Amino acid sequence: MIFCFLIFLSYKNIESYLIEKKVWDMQVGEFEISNVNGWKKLSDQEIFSIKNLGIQPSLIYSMNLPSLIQIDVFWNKLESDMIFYGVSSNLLSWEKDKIPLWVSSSLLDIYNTQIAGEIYPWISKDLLQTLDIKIFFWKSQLFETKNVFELSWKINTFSSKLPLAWISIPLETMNQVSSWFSNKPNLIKIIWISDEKTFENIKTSFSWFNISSQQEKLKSVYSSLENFRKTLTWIIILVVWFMIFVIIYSILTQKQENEKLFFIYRLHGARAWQLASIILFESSIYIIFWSLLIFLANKIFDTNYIDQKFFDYSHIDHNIKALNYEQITQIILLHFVILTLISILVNYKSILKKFEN
Amino acid sequence: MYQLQVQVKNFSYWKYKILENINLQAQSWDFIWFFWKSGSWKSTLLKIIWSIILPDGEVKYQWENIFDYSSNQLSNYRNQITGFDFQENNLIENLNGEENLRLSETIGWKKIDNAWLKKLIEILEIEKILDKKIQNLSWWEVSRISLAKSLASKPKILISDEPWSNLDEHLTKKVYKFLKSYSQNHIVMVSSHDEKILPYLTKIYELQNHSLQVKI
Repeated sequence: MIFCFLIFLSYKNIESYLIEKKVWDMQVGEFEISNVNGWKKLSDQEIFSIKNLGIQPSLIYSMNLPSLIQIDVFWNKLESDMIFYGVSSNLLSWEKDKIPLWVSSSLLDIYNTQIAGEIYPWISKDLLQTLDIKIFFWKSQLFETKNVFELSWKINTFSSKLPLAWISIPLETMNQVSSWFSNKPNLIKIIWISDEKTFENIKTSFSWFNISSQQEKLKSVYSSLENFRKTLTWIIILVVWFMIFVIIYSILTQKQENEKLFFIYRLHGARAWQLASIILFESSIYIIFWSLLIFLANKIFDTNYIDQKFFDYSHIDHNIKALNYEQITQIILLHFVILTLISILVNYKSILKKFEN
Repeated sequence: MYQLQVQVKNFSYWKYKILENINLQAQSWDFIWFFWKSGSWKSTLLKIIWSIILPDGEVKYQWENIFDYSSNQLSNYRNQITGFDFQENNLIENLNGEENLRLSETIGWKKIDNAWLKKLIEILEIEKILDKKIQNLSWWEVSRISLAKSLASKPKILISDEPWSNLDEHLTKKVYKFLKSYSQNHIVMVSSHDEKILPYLTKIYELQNHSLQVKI
């Protein structure tokens, strides 16, 4: 059972890894468009064909450059590596007199529900718009960088149309930023179809392409993580109940065996406390065995695991609090302590009392 | 000198009468034999003396009723006063012969006299099987270990329930002689069908119709 459990979890990890890989394994190239199986480079002919449909697809440049966003929230400086996208002007409306920073509404939801949770205050859209946000180009939490270029911006617009975890700036600004660096950053040019109707049109016209939206794929990653969390929780619950069943069975079996053995001990003059100490010893063996098992399981799937997954996915370095392993461990251990006490009581009542005389 | 007095007014199991009006007196030099006809519940009487079964009555050892003993006193009585050798397997199967012989020492910290133990081992011819686990021994070998175990702690009262039905004639005779000498300073009670024991006895009781009849 435990072996199957570990195999299943390993499978889940691999599955989760593959889904993430699909999304982030992008190649630097000219034009790319997402499909279910990865990223496909578009030929000029294909772009021409799309334009012939009477559609003007939006261009998004993803900047392949270490960049970091810093937000001052309640005297805490939250920092995270972030990918910046230059979004073509026609995609979202914005006031021309300000340099806007577009943030996906979903990103804020993720922060509030998964990161802030019950520990940190939730941030509203209005509040976020008042906060100072610094963007550092050529800076990263992950590795040493130099020639850091800093910009202080304010979040201008939230949009539900933007893909999850995207922070976008106007395409013109993106071009300007890239010109500030002597070593020009690589830009991944992505055609992004935000309008569902247009998207369906392209999908029908280019059935060979099997286009899927980036947003859908990102959602699927998040949903896979969520499913993983639920599955893991259920598996842990099932395993705990299975262990409880095994322990109860063992207690009953042990009781029968002990009755015979304790009878002989008692006939030889063993005192009640001597028999009680045998029961305690056997029970403590149970505790040690199961505790070791839980410890090992916890070691494999410690809290860092999901945090790391979330960081890899979103580049937000924080506790996702998806599954409170410490609490679960405590609950499981409490179960075993209770079961041990039951074991002692059952043995005491049935064996010691029986031979009290 | 040790004194034992057993009085059982009545003992029933469910609605079945088992023992009634039992009177038994024994003291150090007594080698007592119980014989019975089928269904006489002789094991029940021995278990009463051994304090496992508590009937309506009393078992007085050195003029003290053991049924009034506390749990710890009963433990001492079983560990240091009585030695038992029953038909039912009363050895621990996953221990070896020697560990079983020293069981009362392990449990009760009463040091076993090694010279005495050596003597028992020689008489019962069990040297070669002492290091074997009980579960690997034949029934015949187990009987000898069990008898040695019951005598190992030099009990004041030795209780044996059909102990030697599996011993050969030569060994049985040797055991009877040895028990006879042991009974000079202790109480020995044996239930058996073997009439060869008769020359060694001091008292004979017959269990009949739920009560005890003195024959000698």
